[in-house]
Amino acid sequence: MINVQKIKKDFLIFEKQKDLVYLDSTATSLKPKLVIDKLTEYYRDYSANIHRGIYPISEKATEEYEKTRKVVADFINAFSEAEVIFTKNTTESLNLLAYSLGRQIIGKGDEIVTTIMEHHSNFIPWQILVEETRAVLKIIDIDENGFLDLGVNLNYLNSIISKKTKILTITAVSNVLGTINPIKEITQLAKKINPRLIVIVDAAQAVPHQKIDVQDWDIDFLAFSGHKMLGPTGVGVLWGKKDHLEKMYPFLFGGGMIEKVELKKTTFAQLPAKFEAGTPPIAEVIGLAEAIRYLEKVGLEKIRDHEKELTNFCLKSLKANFGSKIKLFGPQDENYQGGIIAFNFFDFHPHDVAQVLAQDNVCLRAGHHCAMPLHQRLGCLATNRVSFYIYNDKKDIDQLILSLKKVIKILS
Amino acid sequence: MNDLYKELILDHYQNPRHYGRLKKSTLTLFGDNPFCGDSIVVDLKIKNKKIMDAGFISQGCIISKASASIFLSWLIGKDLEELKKIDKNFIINLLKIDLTPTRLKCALLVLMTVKKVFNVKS
Repeated sequence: MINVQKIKKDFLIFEKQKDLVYLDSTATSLKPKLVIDKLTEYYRDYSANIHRGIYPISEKATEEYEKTRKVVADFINAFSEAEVIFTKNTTESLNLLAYSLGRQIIGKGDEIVTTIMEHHSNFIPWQILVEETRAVLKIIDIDENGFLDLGVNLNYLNSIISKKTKILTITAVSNVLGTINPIKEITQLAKKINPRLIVIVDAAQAVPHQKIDVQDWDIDFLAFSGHKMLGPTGVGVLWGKKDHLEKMYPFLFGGGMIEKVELKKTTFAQLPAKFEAGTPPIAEVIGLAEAIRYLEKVGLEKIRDHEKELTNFCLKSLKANFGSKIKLFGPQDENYQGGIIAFNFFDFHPHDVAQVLAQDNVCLRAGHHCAMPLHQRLGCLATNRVSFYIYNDKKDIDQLILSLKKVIKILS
Repeated sequence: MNDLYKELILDHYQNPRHYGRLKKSTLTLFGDNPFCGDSIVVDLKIKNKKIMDAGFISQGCIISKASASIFLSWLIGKDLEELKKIDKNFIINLLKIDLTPTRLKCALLVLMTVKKVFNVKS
């Protein structure tokens, strides 16, 4: 069991805002003091550049930066640290893949498979790539419960994946529906059909909330963001199998990613430097290590259990208080969804619902959550979305219900 | 951000003025905010470069509907020349509320739509 009261003490934001009900961790998470301090410590005590200086503070900066690489590699069970690339965020990681991998291996008639529930960051890069290369983008649909429509024992994969499929790119957890996709099983079957298939996973909503093991999943690439897992903004991770990364063309060119530069040609550095051009977000990377340490101390399994409990409680409370007047999307079952619930409330526009709730400092999101194709598929233009993390408890959900009741009072 | 839903706004939302299509109109203008799903259809009756009548139907949030009702109430009887001068500050003052950047888009939907009249030839 997570002691939320104890955890909230680690997040200074609650000192000044005791009534803060933050239900938007899907957008970004709050930050514990430890992470802020670690980041500040770099700026205050050893803000030198990395990989360049020979003097003490540069060596210290390099050491802390590379330490994070190891921390991340261990956290996701990568084969080696060299497979961990620091980017700006999940979006940049996925764009890097579309650019450096996609443009290298995708040609006319090749197929890329994705899903209707993807965040724009794992949809648009492929849409554009397919346009440019005249390849084909296949989109896996959802069923009426918000699960990927893959049939019994995922047998639809047999007709979706073929030897023509070069890339399967899929989210681990939907940022709208909360649906947890069975990545291991999907990858296993898809690679049985096509052993050369490359599987990319957008894990932005998964890594912060559950234990991830890329070796167990047998996937080829994983992308996630630091700021959604108690870490700073401006740092993201791309993990990839060494063989793939070594064959890929670099993404950004410049300092730090070279071996030798002559007038007429340049040779590139080994992994991971090849994909880390320019001065990286050093403070942010160092802060990310602290975030991971914090999460591991709380325990990823405990975090998952905590969110399951809150999701269950929230679903029950919403249904009990509002019945058929609240339209819930997604599996509506905490065993199959992350701590994310999207809904429409009566026939109020999500913006208006969020606005009234904001008056009570209840923070939830309104809109299409960077998933317009999904919303088109759901038949609505916008939804409200709540999400849970380690600093939320049942009291937050009770307040959510109270504030939603106010919406009816004020806007009817 | 407090009390965005003041009486003025709620009144114009629950009892929107000039709601409904005009039986006879000079032209019809469409506008939408795909970002959040607000959409609006505005009928205008124009004579001698003056807006004689207006009607609208809309789908979307309270702010966008109330804004349309309040603005079109003001617009009827004004010259097209006066419309040209209207900017976002005018709308903010008309609605008498503090709008965040996100909600500002909702409030400006009707203005953005009506200003399309200047794209129409003659």
